[in-house]
Amino acid sequence: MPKRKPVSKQQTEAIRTYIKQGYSANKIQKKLKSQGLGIRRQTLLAEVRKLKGKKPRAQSHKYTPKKYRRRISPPARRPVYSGKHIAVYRYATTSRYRVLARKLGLPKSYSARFELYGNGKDIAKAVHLALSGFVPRWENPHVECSARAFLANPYKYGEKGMWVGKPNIES
Amino acid sequence: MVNQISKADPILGFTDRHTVKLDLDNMSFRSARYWANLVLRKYKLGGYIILKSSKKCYHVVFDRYVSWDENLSVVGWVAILSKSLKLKDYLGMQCIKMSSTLRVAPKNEKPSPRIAYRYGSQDHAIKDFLHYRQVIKKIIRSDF
Repeated sequence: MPKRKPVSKQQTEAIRTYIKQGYSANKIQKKLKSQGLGIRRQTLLAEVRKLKGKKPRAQSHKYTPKKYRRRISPPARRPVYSGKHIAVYRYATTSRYRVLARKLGLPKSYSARFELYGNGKDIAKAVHLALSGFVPRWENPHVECSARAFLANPYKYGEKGMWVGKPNIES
Repeated sequence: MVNQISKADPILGFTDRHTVKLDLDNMSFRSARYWANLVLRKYKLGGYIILKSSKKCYHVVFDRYVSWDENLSVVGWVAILSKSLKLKDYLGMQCIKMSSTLRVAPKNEKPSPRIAYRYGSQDHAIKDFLHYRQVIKKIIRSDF
């Protein structure tokens, strides 16, 4: 809710009386001014809505003149998931995969990537974990997850292994 | 079939679906700027930034956000007209991953891509790209 100058008891009582008499907000403002109880338009409208038992106006930020916008609460921040990820990628290998590769005659490494999103601190921690030798599983080499979820349960998304360079395949 | 493995650090990059990114390899700076200007005018992308990733390799990031379909259309258009096989490979990889990635961190002997040229508006996708680039650089500095 935006912060407004408090309304005095006298003003509140006067407004309540005028509302009961069916006065419009415009007329109430003029009456208050003539009695030396002048009030800002926005404050008055909010008070009228409150006394009438109506909900505060939606999208107040949008309808507030720019010069007063700083006084009210800012619009909600951008969500953490904005579709932009930080990718940690290269070829990877694990002991489990090497056994399988030997059996099936596959290359010794596979292309793997983590795509992480979230706030900077979480991403930094997650990247450090990946750099320390945590790689995506061979079954799911392309992992897209939030950095926080990855940190909470890294074995859900990967396993201990090794990041390696591009394999030199000689036929 | 013989293959050898050598330990290496993973690469860090920026990934998303709505920023138009081109990976122009084996191309002079003039050619990269020519293609960037051409795309900018044809697709009305607002502005662009050229980053030098290594000798004769440039990355281009455009400022206007586009849909995934339009993104593929732009990259495909440049790949066909410029007859760049590397860009065609890049397009193929984008299609497989369903997102496009540009490298930000160093890779082997190659340093991080450096900003070489800016043109037009820089307030939307480029601003966000540079923000994420900064985040990645901070991570690199604290780790490597």
